[in-house]
Amino acid sequence: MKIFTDYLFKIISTVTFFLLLNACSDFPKDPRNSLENAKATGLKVGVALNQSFTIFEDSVLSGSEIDLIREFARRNNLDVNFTIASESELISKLEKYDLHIAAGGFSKKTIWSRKVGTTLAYDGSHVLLIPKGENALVTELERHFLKETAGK
Amino acid sequence: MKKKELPEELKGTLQKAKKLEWVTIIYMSTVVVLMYLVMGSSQAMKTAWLEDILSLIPTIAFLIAEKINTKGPNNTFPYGYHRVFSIAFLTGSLALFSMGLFLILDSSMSLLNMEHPTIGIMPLFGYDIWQGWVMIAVLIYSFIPAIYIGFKKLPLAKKLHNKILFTDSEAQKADYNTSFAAILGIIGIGYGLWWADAAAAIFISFSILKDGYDNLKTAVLDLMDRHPVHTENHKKDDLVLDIENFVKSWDWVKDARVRFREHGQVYFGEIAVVVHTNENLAENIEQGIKSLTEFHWKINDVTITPLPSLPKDY
Repeated sequence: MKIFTDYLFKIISTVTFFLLLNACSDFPKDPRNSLENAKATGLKVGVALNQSFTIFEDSVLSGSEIDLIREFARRNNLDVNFTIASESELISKLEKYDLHIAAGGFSKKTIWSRKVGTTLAYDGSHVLLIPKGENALVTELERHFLKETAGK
Repeated sequence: MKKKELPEELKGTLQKAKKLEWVTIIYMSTVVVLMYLVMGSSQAMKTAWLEDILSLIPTIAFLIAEKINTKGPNNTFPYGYHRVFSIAFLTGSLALFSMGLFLILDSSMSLLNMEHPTIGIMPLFGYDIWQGWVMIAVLIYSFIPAIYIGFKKLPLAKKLHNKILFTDSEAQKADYNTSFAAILGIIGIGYGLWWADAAAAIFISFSILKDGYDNLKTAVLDLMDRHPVHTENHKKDDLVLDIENFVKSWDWVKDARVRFREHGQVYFGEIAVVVHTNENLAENIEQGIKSLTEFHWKINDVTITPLPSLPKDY
């Protein structure tokens, strides 16, 4: 049994070491710095028009997802640049890290999830798309969603 | 039916082993469910999850085989059911081996395709926690009790000379390796090192493949009737030599040669003897077989053949 406790001690101390190491840094990070870039250059949002989520009328963008993103940008002091494009164009831009977010009333079972990252479903069934693996960005976005739903 | 396998003093050990195997199944099932719930898009988590599922194979195989192997011999299976352990061991190791190969390919593809795993927030008990932390917590839960159970099972496996049980406990004891690799992979993701996930997954896949290969080798060698070996180090079991010396010590025996093979937990074998005199030969042989089965519990089935000279090929 002594061997077991020795074993356990080694493991626990190593794990604790790593956890402590992490506790003092920004976590998680973006491999391609999307969130940092958004702070510098403004949040690049691609929009595919879709019913009540994303509406373009009289040269004005509106809709529930547009509101959600504007509110996120306001809270994080980010400028927002919207561009309207087709779904497939948005996906290829996300794959090249040319966009930070794509909105278009995407369902949480979207067929694009193999190519891009998805946030958790902000209303239980719809998600925003982000470049794959940009975990600082997705974490900030999701924190925002959860605050919004908690507020309602 | 008479249970012909373990001596009285080892029956308690077997009961203990069975109990621990049931504990393993219940505990590992909770691990498998939790891992599935939190694994997200991490390749390392997926690989560790599959490994945990695979680790149930030897446990279940042991419990099933243990029910069958104690059945006595009958007309259809005149040698009894001892080898059910070897067969269970072979199938389990084959599953491990092929899954290892598949996972190496799968994880390498995820590295080559530069898959960036997306891990966001998981709301838990009113807190918004980065899901990576939840994964790490589950991984820790997946190996600390496992090591403990593994350590508990190991001495039982040695006593019972049971390879499935031994493999099972060794694998559990070593489970921290893979969980640890997965934890490093996830911490890597947190640091923005997307490749850490796939790299950890490849490491885990190799460890599955290695286990599979080692077990497959042992299973095949046993089924090839090699000289019996110790479960823990694969060294030749001296018991065979002891048997030979024991037989040579009988006063009616001039010289003897023995060969044995493993049938699951027990040994089967033949003994060729050159005798001093043919007087009372049948009685001597009968008495010899009786004293051999009392010599060690592992000697389960043995025949003694008197010959004019010893066979050269064993």
